[in-house]
Formats: sequence, C-alpha cells, structure tokens
Amino acid sequence: MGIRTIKSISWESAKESLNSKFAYLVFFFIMLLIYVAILTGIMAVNDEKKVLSDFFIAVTQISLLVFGVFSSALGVSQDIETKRIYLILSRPVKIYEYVFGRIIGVWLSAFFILFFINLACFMVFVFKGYFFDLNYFYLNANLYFKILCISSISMFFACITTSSFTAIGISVMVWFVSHFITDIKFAFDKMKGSVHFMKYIIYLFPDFSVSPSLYSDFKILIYSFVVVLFSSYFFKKTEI
Amino acid sequence: MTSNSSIAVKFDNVFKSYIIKGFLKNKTIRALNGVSFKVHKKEIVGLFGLNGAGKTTIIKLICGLLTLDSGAVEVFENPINLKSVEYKKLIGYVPELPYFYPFSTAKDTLNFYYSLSTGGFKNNEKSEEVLNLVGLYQRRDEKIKNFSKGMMQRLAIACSLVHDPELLVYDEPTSGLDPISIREIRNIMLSLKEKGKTVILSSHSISEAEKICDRVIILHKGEIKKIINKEAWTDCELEKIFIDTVAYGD
Repeated sequence: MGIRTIKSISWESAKESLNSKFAYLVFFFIMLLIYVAILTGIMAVNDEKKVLSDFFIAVTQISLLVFGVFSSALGVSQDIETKRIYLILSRPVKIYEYVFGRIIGVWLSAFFILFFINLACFMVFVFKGYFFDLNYFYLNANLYFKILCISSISMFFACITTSSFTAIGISVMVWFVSHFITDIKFAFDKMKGSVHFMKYIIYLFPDFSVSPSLYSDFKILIYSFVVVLFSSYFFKKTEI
Repeated sequence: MTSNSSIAVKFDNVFKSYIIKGFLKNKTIRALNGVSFKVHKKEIVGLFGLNGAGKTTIIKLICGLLTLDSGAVEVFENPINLKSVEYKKLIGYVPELPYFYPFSTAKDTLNFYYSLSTGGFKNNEKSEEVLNLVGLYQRRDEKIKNFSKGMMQRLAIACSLVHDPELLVYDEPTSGLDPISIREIRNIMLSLKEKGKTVILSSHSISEAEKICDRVIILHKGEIKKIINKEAWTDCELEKIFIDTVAYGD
C-alpha cells in the first residue's frame, strides 16, 4: 500500500475540507450552539453542569455528523464534477490509494473539529468552575468512531452512485436506523413467516445502539475499514 | 520502463463504447471503432475531429482513465490496464478546463502532484524550476483562486511537467485562451519537443496544429479518417483537408 501517496492525498483532502465554506458554516454553527448552551445552562440553575455536558455532546454529534457526511460525499463527487480526479488518477495512483486518502482526510478534519469543540467546551467548563467528567471523553471517543463509520458509508454511496445528494440522503437514513438496531432486531425476532429473513438485512448496518465500549468501537472501526475497501472496489468498476 | 523502440504510443484495433444508463433501457454509444495508430518518440501529434469524434477517449485511454472494450494500447511498450499504474510516471496529462484547489498556492499544488508521481516525496526546487518554465515563478506563493484562465492552464502544464515525463498528453490546452496565452503555450510545447519529449495534442484549432504538429490524425465518429504528415500540408491546406475529410467522411 502506498502509504506516502495516501498521506499526500489525505493531507490535501483535510486542508480542502477545513477550508471549505461548508466548514466555516459548521464552525459558525458550533459557536452559536455553544453560546446557546451557556445561556441554557444559566437557566438550569442547579443542573447547569449536566445541561452544559448534554448540550455540548449534542452540538458535537450534530456538527460532526453534518461535517462528516457532507465532506466525504461532496469530496468525491466534486472531484468527479470538476474532473480533478483525472489529474490525480493520471498519476501512478491506485484507486484504493485515492479512496483511502480522501476518507482519511475527512477523518483528520473531523478530528480537528472534535478537538476544536472540546477545547471550546473545556474553556466554558473551566470558566464556570467545573471539571470535565471522564465519561465525557469516552462519549466523545465513541462519537468519533461513529463519525468515522458514517463518513465511510457516505463515501461508499458517493463512489457507487457518483451523486452527493444520494450519498448524503442514504447516510443520514443509515445513521438513524443504526441507532435503533437492537430494537429492530427484537422486532424482527418476533415476526414470523416470510418477513423473518429480513432480519438478516439488519446485519448490514453498523450497530450504534449498544453502550459505548472498547469492543463496540473496535467493531465500528473494522466496519468502517471494510466499507472503505468496498468503496475502492466499486469505484474501480465505475466509469468516471 | 522506457524502451529502445522508437514507438511512444501504439493503438491496435481499439474499440471503446460508453453505456448511458436510462430509466428502462441502457444505451450504448460507440466512441472508438477499431482505431489503430502509432506515435513515434520526439514528435508532436495532433488529434483532430468534431465534438464527439473520440479525441478525449483516446487521451483518457492513454492515461489509463478508461478501460478498453477490445484491442490493445501500449505506452512505451507497457500495455495499458487498470491494474498497472507504474507506466503513468512516463505521462504528463493536461485535461480540458483543469481545476485546482483554489485555496492552495501554485507551489503547493505542484508539490502535491510531484508527490503523487514520485510516491509521496516533495521537491521544491523542481517545482520552482517548472514554474519558471511556464512563467509563473513570480506568483508561486499566490493562491490559485486569484489566477486567470490562462494562468490556470499554464499551471496545469507545469503539473504535467513536474515529474519530468517522456510523453505529454494535452486535451485542448489552448481552449478559451487569448492570443498571447495561446502563443506562450505553443512556445512551451515547441520547447518540450526540442528537449526530446513526445507530445499528443487534441485541439480544435487547425492553425495551431499547422504551426506545431509533425503529424495530424483526423478522427470522425470514432474512426481514423486520415493520418497526415507535416510535409503534406502547406498554409491553409490542412483546413481544407480536414473539412473535406470530415464533410465527406460519412
């Protein structure tokens, strides 16, 4: 595997994602929500710390979800629309190097945004005289793994359909379904007859419904890696 | 990777179709219909034809961006397929209307494309040398979003040269440019020929071809209608040959 080539593409991809108008919009949105969180916290009086923590987790989740899904879907389809992909693939670059480079770039920029949000939240906590709970970090780590996964799925659909809208739409649906996997499995187990086989389809989805643990994070990471491998495979078959 | 043979590019009975997906039925469009030709080292060959004649398909096949239906394409005796990419080190490609990341500088862009061609390494000296060649050295640290169309085209040519390839493949490099930019790009191509590079050029401008090409391949509806050597045309005659060939090509 051409690690240096992947590094070059991912670095360029990360720079591009973070410099886009869309990233600026996400940053503005984050700042706005943090401001709203502070105001809401004041109104919560005795539960201020809990309200702030919950609000910050929600801000992180929404911002990273939007950023991850959009960046990975738009990155590939923009490369195709602007024909920049021809400039890249006319070099000695293999398709999987391009796909891995692109997705790692999105992961890097998502990590930067996560770091930025956490820094802002940390400053708010310190300013208010609270300490960060260790669970807060675990939740953030688990959230980051979920973002890795959903951005990989977004890229997968961008690679096979070459349409950013389709990729974004399907990824958001997968995100919601994946948070109810345990319930859906339970419902399918109760069903009888011809629909019973449908329960196997649910195994194609990542499972975000289980409690965060090292094992579940590892499973999500492996799932993401496999999705990126499939993206490379199908992208190779697509005539661009 | 380069061979002792005098042939830089060889097309042997190449067929290529595109499938256009429809709602109920797919449609197949034949882009190349049994195309065969050879390009010798150190020559400038022009590909001419109306829109949809197959020029860009030939260029994409050379660059390994498409797969063949049947036939064979060789670049410096390396057979082209999607699995092998090493031969691409020998090719410098400029697409029609190149796009670069607007927040990057000219020098960073060249370093990026250099790193792709050399497996991740960067070379500032080489980037600056090539920027000097295309007349962008003074603006090397400027963001690309401030560049004009002509400057973008020159940057694209710089990108195609940064890894010192043997074969240069240019898809309508002077399209939409002003006369001064056209002349500058023409001079760059002639200087490349003097350095022993092989150039394949797709263009709509017959006057340009007359000035720089050693041979011209006239394509029509995916077939080669004529291959003409420089000696065969004098001023204005190429236009007549082209129109006669294309107009009565059916």
